[in-house]
Amino acid sequence: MSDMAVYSTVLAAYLVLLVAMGVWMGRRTRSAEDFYIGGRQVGPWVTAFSFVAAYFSSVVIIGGGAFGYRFGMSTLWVGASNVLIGCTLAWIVLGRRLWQFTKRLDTMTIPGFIGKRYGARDAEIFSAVIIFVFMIVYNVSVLVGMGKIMEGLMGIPYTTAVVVAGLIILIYVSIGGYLAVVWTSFVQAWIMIFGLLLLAFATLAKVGGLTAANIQLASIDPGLVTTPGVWGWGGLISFAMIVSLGVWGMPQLLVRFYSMKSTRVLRLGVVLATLGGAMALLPYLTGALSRLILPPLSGAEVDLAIPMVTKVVLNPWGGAIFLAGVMAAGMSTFASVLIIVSGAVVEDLRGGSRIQGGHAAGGAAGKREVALGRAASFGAGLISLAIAYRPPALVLVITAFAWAVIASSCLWPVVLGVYWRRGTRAGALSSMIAGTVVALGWMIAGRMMGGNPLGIHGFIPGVTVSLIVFVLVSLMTKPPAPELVSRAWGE
Amino acid sequence: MTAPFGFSWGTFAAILVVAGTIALAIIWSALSSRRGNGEEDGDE
Repeated sequence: MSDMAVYSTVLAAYLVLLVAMGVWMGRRTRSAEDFYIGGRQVGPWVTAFSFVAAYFSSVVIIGGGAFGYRFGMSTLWVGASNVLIGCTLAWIVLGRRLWQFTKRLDTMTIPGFIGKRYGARDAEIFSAVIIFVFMIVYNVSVLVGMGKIMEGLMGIPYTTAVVVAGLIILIYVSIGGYLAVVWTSFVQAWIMIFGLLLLAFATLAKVGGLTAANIQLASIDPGLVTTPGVWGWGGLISFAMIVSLGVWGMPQLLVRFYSMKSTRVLRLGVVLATLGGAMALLPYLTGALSRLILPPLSGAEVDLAIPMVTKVVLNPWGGAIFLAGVMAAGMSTFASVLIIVSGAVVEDLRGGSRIQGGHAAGGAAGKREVALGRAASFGAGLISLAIAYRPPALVLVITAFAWAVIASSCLWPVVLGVYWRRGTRAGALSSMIAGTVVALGWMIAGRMMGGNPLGIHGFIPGVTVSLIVFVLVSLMTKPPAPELVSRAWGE
Repeated sequence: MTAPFGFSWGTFAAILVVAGTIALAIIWSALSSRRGNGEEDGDE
């Protein structure tokens, strides 16, 4: 059997499984609440592992490997911050409260939560627009990543890879909604973990184990095994923060908390998400080790470190499993984002959350809302697909900003929204605008100067200014109406 | 003196943080179970 036949067989079986799951879950989707948050009936295993799968996209695996190659073992700190801040603390700090608040406020989206928590339709629309624009752009980067790795490992044209992967996701998401997303993500998380472990152990075996690898890396450059090493503190800390604290403002991850069937899910879920999240170490470790196996790479070639080392250390079957893992990472993230974009359009921009009958309504009203959700997710996916087919250079630049802009705008209105009663409508709105403008401005300046100012990622100034503005404006404006606060706090 | 597996101590600390985080999750889960005692939000 040729390498191409092996890759194709494994991938075809995997894609058929995903579509079958979408069709199966579509039969259980009867209301808007089913379509967007699975009817709040998701248990701990599926919540935890779908969280992990949505968190770590193909961009993280390929990009993380590239960072590992360039900066060495200090990048393990990025993986550690993913586990501590992005998984465990996010679950502990936000899980219970977001579940309670969204239930009391009867909302299924982050813009909807912001709108109802602060009585701020303008803030709801602003966050929905930010999510719509930047999530679509984020999805372009995920599709581009998947297309490139399929091209690199399988040798099929980039455009074919993007169309096949994109269409399969569109089909199962638009049919099966949130339940299809979380159940396919659950399966995909295991494929990702298995693929990453396989590659990491095969790479370790090739270099003679960890101790030998560290000695060899130190002989190339001692900065490859020390912290912060060749990266420096500014770059290491700001990158670690954007990919870990940033999670606290990312709607496609926060939704996992309010789709749980009860807060009891958190007890087992937090342990499972932490264990699953520990796989975040593997791309960085493998990338660092790959420097000992591959010929010297420079410039954009560094992004090929993981695909190249896969071809060297794994046989075709192992490579196919790893490819399926990377595809799984990309598809689960893409699918999770599609549902969020659909919710932003149908529920928030259109004002669906205010429609009579409530989210849980079945019957004709429920069918209409589900049909709208399906159409919106399909449309949003098609836009990403069309852009990713031949991405303009400008879009690829903006993709690097997407995560930071969304997190900078949404993080504090969400976190303080469930902890600080004094937060006001004006505080939330101005904080979102300030976070967006500062993060975008900082990153655009960095792009023009050929490097981030002070070596710091735009997320850090964005989220810092957003916090300061939120607190100051809230304290300077009239306190929120008591009924607004008492409804949110369930008093 | 290097840390286990030839790591520098500054880098090995990242692995210790991951181990500590797993312990934190288990402890929080156990305390949450004891505190909740079956009366969690959303339970029928």
